[in-house]
Amino acid sequence: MKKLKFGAVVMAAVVSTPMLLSGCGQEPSSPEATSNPPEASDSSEASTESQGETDSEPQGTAEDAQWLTPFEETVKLDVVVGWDADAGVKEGTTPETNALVEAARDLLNIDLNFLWMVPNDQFSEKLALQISSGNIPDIVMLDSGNFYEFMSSDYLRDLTDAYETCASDELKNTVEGFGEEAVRYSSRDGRLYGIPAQLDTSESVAGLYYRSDWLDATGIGTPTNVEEMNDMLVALAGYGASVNGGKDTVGLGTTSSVLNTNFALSAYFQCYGAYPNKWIMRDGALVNGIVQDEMLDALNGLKDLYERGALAADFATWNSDQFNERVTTDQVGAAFGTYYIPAWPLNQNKDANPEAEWAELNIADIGSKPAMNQVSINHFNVVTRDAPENAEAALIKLLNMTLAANGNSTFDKSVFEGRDLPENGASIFYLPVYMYFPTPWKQYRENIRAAYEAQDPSGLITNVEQEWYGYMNDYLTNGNACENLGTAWGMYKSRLSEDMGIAIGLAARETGEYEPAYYYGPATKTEQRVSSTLSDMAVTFIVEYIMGQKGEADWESFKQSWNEMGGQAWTEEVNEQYKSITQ
Amino acid sequence: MTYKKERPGKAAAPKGHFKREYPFYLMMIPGVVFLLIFSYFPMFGIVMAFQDFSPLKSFSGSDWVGLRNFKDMLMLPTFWTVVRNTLMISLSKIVLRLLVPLVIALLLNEIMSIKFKRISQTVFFLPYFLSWAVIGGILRSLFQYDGMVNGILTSLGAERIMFLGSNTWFPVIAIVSDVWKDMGYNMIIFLAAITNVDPALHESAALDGANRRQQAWHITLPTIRPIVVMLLVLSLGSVLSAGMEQILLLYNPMVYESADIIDTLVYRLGLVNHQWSLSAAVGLMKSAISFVLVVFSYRIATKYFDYQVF
Repeated sequence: MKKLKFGAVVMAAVVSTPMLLSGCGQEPSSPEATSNPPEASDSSEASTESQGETDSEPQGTAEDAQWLTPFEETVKLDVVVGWDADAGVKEGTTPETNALVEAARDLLNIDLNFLWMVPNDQFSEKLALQISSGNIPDIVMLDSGNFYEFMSSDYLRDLTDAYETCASDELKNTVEGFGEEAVRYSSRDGRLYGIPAQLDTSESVAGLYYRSDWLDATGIGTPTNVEEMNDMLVALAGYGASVNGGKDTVGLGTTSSVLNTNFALSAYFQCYGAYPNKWIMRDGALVNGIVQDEMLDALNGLKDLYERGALAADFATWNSDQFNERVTTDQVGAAFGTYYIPAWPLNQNKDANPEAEWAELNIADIGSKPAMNQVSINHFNVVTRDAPENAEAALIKLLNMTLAANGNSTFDKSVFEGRDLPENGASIFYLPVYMYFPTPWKQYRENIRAAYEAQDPSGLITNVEQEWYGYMNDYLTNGNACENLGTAWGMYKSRLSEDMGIAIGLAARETGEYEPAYYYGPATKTEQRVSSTLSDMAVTFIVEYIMGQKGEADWESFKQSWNEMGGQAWTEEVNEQYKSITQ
Repeated sequence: MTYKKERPGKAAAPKGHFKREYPFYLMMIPGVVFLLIFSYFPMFGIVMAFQDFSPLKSFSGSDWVGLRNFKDMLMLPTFWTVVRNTLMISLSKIVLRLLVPLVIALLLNEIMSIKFKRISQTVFFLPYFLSWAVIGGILRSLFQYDGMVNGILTSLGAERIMFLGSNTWFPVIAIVSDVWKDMGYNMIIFLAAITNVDPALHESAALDGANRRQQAWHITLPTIRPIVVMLLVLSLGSVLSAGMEQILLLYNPMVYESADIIDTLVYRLGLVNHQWSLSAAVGLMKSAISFVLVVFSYRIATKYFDYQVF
């Protein structure tokens, strides 16, 4: 400690750094020296390649992990958490009894005080209420809207020094591995105010999952253009009803949230080159895809599908539960979704009907471009203004710990003494902060396939690789006779298949055949005021158009209303902010 | 609550009445404190409607914007549709919540079998204890496109109806299900009031040749009128509350035109989109109109039905 205090004197110019040092057990250093981002950060393709090459290497041992040094004085943090009980975690475990909370106390001297715990789907509203009451947790995960509002209100603590001093290589790799954008979007005036939890953007690419056994039975070939795709959807509806006992059957299943990506119609519009609610670049400026004329072609396509019985007559009353129920009971011929759809909910159909076969149509194969987000930040991990001393370093250490305890990590987990294992009551999902471990898709897929070919999984390092290998081996060896068919099939098809699931997103990234969705930034003034109104208006218009209550003559008035209601001002503000962030 | 013809004037109060009645004032204290803390103190939040409010800046740090939020509220494209829907659904509920329980109470009162009467009361009252989450699920199963009701219709050779996606049917289902759920409560109140009707009046009427229907119309109903008026006055205060929980669970984009109400709009603006000030403005507008309606209905009740609370 004396040495650390001496260090603090030397670093007197940096007022906050001495506090951080006391917890991190290492000298501060320049960003260049401590952070180790992939070199080619301008290109997201290159950055992922780099991740793929580096992530499978061991990240460090407990001895090397200086961040594991405990704070001299206990750091007590008020936290909140959204969680859902995980069947894989020891029964009766709650966020408060999470073994990792105990590990944080013992290894880092961080004491988490849970103000409340709610199911995940209630977290956002509960947090909104908490914020409105003015009683803000010390560390918390914020969505984009809240993050920028907090930052504008000077309500966030500067994490720059804590990040540079305490972040593990794994954390830095995770934050910076996707390129510069995420750090830029998390900073103001060169100072870091949030640790962005990102998803691999190839995971945002959607495709059309369809019942290939039904398509084969109809004798129709795989579609090569949009018209053939529409014909396929009509044929699937007809054939499905003929083999499922005459139950209501749809060619294309969708919920009422038509502009979502999963089990919805956002990707259908992409087949026509339309990108509703995405900011796309046209003539050097960002425009919102919802008011581009390509929308009209897609709307006419959907109206035609509705009239031909490929869409449910009451599709706009479906929620996700009803969608899942119908998928499971052979009442849905196809649905749009991202890579994980086979693992949920298509797996339920496979469990109910092992003979059901699904394939995925890559939007690029019908001459269109799927959308891919330029940056995909799920949330920001932050420290709020009134948090106690050393909270910044505590946040970084907790994030280090969540990554070290992740099944993808090669970190030497012996330091946890079993307190990282689900069977001992540990879950990284029960913690109040979270970082996605960037899955090195390419590396994992190659490793696991090679292990399967050799029938030797001993070279697979991470828990996740070994788990996925098990699913692949089980399904490919036993086919529909494997014990946990739905899970094994779903995990294999979503993660390891050649032509389905994540393979589609990875292919889009490799070939560059995608439409970049730009701008991930603070909600503009106009957006805050009108976005919900505009969104409701768009959804209502789309539903009414599909059902024939609106026609082409109404399209221009819709565009005009959208712009007049604030869409035009919103677009101008987005362009201004985009320029200010990217310049 | 009292029901009396003359208002007690201050001069009528005998000296020392406070000393005599202070135990009653003491008993009022918890209720008054509760009211102050949970009803009056939060009213300070009304200022939010006149600010560009941010919880992080609190009331003192948020900018004042005058009536801009109210202007924005009126500019919302769905605002007047939402007001119309709210009034239509709410007024229908208010009227039917009085009429249906009243009729059922009158009919139950005529039943001779005590056992059957009690079972019936229990059956009518049971739905009151079910949450909207449960009833919402039941209604969806019953009325969805491939649900039970449409199954019956098709088996009878009729066309299926998109009940939950129809701007005609949705409000009907919302109103009827709400009345069905809550009718037991008012029914019990009416039954209690009917029990208090002096049996001598019925006996006299019977001697004069009045049948059961005439007795109900000329004796029972006039006697329980104050209770009916009281329930009406109380419910008018919530004329702009059309049942948020129920609508939120059942509605979808196909029926926004007929089902979106003020409360669902406030919910979306405030809790979903964090537009606190706009949400507060809509809420304040609702409270102000409700207040006027309560005063108005109270005046009407006093003038025409001789009914007083204060």
